[in-house]
Amino acid sequence: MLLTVPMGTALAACASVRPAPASLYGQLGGAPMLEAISARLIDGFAISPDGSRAFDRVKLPRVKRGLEAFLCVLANGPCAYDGDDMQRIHAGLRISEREFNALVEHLRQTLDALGVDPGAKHELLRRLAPMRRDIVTATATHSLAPRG
Amino acid sequence: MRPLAAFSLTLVACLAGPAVAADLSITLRGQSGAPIQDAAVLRAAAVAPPTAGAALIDQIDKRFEPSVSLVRTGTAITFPNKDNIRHHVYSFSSAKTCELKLYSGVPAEPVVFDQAGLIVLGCNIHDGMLAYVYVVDTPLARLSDAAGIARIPAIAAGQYQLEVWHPRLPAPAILNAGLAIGTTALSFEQVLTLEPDPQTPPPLE
Repeated sequence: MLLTVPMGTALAACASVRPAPASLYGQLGGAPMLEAISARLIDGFAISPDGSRAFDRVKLPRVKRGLEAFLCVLANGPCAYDGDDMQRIHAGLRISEREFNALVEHLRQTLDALGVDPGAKHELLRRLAPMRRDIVTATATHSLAPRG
Repeated sequence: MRPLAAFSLTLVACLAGPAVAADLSITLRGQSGAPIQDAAVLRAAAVAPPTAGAALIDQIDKRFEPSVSLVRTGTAITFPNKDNIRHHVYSFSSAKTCELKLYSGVPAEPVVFDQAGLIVLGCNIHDGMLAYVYVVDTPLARLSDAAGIARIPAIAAGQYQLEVWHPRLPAPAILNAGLAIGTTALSFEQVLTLEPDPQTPPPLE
C-alpha cells in the first residue's frame, strides 16, 4: 500500500487532482429529489391539457414509483427498475409529438421549480431524449401515393 | 357498479328418473326491495360432468366487458384487449390467483379457471377496472337479470341445494339445503342482506 497518510495529505493539497465526478444521481439530489421530481411531474402532467388523455384513469402512485426507479437507474443510482420498457408501456396509446413535448416541458419546469442544478438537468434531459422514438407513435397522415 | 349475484343448486339426492323435470324461477331482492342483478347459481353437480368451455372477457375503454361472467370449472377465458393498450390483469381470489400482462398487439394465453369460486379481477394500471367471474361446477347455474330474476329450466326431479353467490355476500348463501324439485314449476322470491361494499381487490403493488 503506497498511499500513506502524509501522501494523501500531499495529494489533497495538489490543485491539479480533481475528485471523481459525482454520479448524475448524486448531482440531481439522490432518492428524495427523484421522488419529488416523479411526484410533481406526474401529478401535474396527468391533469394538464396535453397529459390528461394518456393518463385517463391511470393509477398514478404506481406510475410515480416506476418513474422514480427508472430515473434512478438512468442516473446511475443504486436502484433496480423491473418495469416494462418505454416502448411497451406506451404501445397503443398513440402518443403525439405535441403530448411528448408537453411532458418534456413539464419536466423542465419541475426540475427548475425544485432547484435542480442546471448541469444535472441538461444531462438528465439528454439521457431521456432518445426515448422519444419509443414513446411517440401517433403518425401524421401520410400520402398513399406510390413511392418511386 | 350494479349489484351482482349468482345462484346455484347442488343435487343432494335423486328421487326420480331423469325424464321428470321442472323449471325453477327465483327472484332476488335486497334489503330495500331492489332487485339484485347478476346473482345466482343452482347446484347439481351429479347431473352431468362439467364441460369446460371457452369464454371471453374483453378490455374496452378501460373496462372489463362483460363485468360479470358465469363459467363452468375448467373454462379457459381469453382477454382479447380491444383497447390495444397495456393492461395488467390480476386476481388475489383464492379460487384463482393470477397475473396477466396484456400488451398492444400481443395476444395473451387464455387463463384456465379450474376451481369453483367467486373471482375478482382488477387491473394494476387502471383505476375502476373490476370484473367478477363465477366459476361453478354445475350446469344448473344462471345469473339473475335486471329484475333480479334467474330462471333454470328443465331441472331433473330430485333434491337440490340452492345457493346464491354475490360479491357483497361474505360467503355463498345457502337458501335451501334440500329443495325438492318435482314435476311442477317452482317460483319464489328471496330477500338477501348485502354488505355495503363490494369486495374490491387490493392493489397488486
